[in-house]
Amino acid sequence: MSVSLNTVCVMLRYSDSANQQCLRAAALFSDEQLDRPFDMGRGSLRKTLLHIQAGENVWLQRWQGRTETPWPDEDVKISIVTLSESLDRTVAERDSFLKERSDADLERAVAYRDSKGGLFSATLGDMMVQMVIHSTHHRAQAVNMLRRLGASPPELDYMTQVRRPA
Amino acid sequence: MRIERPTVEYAAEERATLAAAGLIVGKSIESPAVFDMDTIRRYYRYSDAATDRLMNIATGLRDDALDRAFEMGLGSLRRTMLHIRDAECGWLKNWTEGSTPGFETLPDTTDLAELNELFAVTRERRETFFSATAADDLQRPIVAQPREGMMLRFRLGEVMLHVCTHGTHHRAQAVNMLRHVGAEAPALDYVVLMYELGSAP
Repeated sequence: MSVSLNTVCVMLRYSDSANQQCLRAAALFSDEQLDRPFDMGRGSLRKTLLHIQAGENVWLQRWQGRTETPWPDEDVKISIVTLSESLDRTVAERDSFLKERSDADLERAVAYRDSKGGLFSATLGDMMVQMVIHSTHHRAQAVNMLRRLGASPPELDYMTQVRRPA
Repeated sequence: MRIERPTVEYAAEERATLAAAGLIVGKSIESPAVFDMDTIRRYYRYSDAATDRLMNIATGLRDDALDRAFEMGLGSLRRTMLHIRDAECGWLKNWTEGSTPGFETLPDTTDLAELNELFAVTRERRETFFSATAADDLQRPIVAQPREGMMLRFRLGEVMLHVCTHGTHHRAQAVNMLRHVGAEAPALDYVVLMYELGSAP
């Protein structure tokens, strides 16, 4: 069982769209609301969204063989607009990287150092799936925070993006 | 090319704020209609392992911990785990038997030992279905009736992926609930679990 580029791209596009929906909802909140403490995940909506963006960027660097990519500081008070722009840059860099890849590339093992200092290796395909699942996991926390802050939380089901009237 | 439909309706003032910030609502996305069974099976392998990890911990908890109310998702750990199984079972039934209105749901009082057995039954039936499913089948249209009078259409491959992302979303809630009831909150990282399953280099 290996991972194919086409299916990974479907997953990545879903993830991109879900990230943007969360960022749009968060953009309507004040700094106080973005930093309100929650006993969940990274502890606030801003930190959770930053963690998603950081994860996408760190994993992308690891895909490209940058083994020693440190996890960035997540205590910075980044604005949602700046965060969205950072994510857009990551997506653009990722798409350029994907254009040059084939299914065979996804079976190649790549070494990376994790955030706790351990040295590991995984196939490029698995590292791509990891990125999507990591973001999906933390979006569940972000949606809960959005709802508790009073937003109409976005409906992030993959189905809502692909369904058509029968 | 399909146009993404925003799932939240923003007021005019909110739309203006988002547009000014460059967060335009209703951005186009292109969706390649290509899926493959290997990737999907791999996602299910992870998904099953992650669910098992949660169930192994949850099964050792008392009823008051399983039913403790949370302002999140389905509202309790037990109901969250039931919901993951209901979705897996309901969609599998749709793929194999066709569409019926709504999904059958297990009672809120279902014992977790019983739920473990039901997860196993669903996986066995799913494996039989997967073994008979080829790449071309993933383009097959699926019709679902979330409620009476509402009919939606998907590709089989899309719904298969949906079941996994749905599980990932709700497992994140379950991890948080486990932590709040004082139980071990397991790490569910994909690369870690696949390595432990012997499915990674």
